[in-house]
Amino acid sequence: MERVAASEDLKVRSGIACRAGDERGALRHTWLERRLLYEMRADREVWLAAVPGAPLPEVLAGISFQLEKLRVFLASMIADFSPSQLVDQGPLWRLQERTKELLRQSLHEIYVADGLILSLQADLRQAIEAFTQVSSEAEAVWREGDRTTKTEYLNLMEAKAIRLRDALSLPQGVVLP
Amino acid sequence: MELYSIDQADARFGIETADYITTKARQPYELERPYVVLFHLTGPAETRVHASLPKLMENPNAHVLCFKGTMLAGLDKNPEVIEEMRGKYPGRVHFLVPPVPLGEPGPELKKRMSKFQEYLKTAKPPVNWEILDPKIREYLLALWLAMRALDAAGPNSQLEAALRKDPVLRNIIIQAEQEYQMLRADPKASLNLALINHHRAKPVAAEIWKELQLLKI
Repeated sequence: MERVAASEDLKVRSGIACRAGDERGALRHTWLERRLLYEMRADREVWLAAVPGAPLPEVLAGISFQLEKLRVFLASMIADFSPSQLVDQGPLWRLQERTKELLRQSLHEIYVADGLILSLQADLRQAIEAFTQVSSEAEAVWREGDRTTKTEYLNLMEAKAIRLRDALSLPQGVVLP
Repeated sequence: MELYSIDQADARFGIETADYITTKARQPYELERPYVVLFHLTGPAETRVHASLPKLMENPNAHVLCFKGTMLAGLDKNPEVIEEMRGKYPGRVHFLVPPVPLGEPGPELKKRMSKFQEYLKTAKPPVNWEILDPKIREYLLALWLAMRALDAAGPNSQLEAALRKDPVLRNIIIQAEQEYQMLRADPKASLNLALINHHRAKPVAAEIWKELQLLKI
């Protein structure tokens, strides 16, 4: 992991489960690794052999749906990975309401000011944009493309999907401030 | 699952278990079921691990709990050895985070070991090492969050006043100190938080952060 210094590693790899962490895992592992990238490799020959105008493979046709989920994830990730949620679980939960309110606010401010989550969000945004641009051409390539065009296209899409997968590797759990 | 020990390692936890070597010699059929061995890494931990662990792990039923009088079974400076062994024997080897001192174990460790023994009576692999050695020390983490926030809030903040007045925080400090003492194997180790104030927040947070980072290995 080059984007985060070793001393900061624990902050973005706390391993403390949160809903957004599950969502990140599902997008990265279930969709990108085990579905899209896997099928791009396993079915490549079949896809290349298909005649122009053949139906778009299901996994490629489903990209727009996954992109919508990604955009929702991106928009809410700062709130969803915030350490302020830790105030409402574990021992801090028993504190008085006013104390909890002040703690939530302070922890969230430190976390945002630290900049780590913002840089992860910016990186993910770029990766989504690049992937969106490539994936939007899929239908046209399938409608008209010959084997060479499709090969080049799939290579490009694979590179952008890997870039997206890497951008989704963090945070692993609630981010510590 | 049965719990065995080598060279009276059980005494370090204040418990009694069957001796692994004797059982292996006289009742080898006992080892045909999953079991856990308490293994004290005497001498240089890295050498001991490489010399003895492969032999202990030959039996696929074996699970080994390595410990020492220092943190992470003496391997806190050699995390690569821990990773190597975890990779070789996934789920079957554990390096205890808190040190196990000579003589009486601390009350927190004793409590956890007793819970772990109880768990093993009905457990099946994979072993849940978290019962003995939870990755997240919840009170230390809670106190770290509070101190981190207090430090950032500055002197004479509303948060400082609220934390001082909140009776629950005192309990969190007591519990966190117990976790801290267990990690340090020092029943007198203290975070020196008799008075909750902004000035103490930074050093206390830094001290706890060091422990949290070690736990992550």
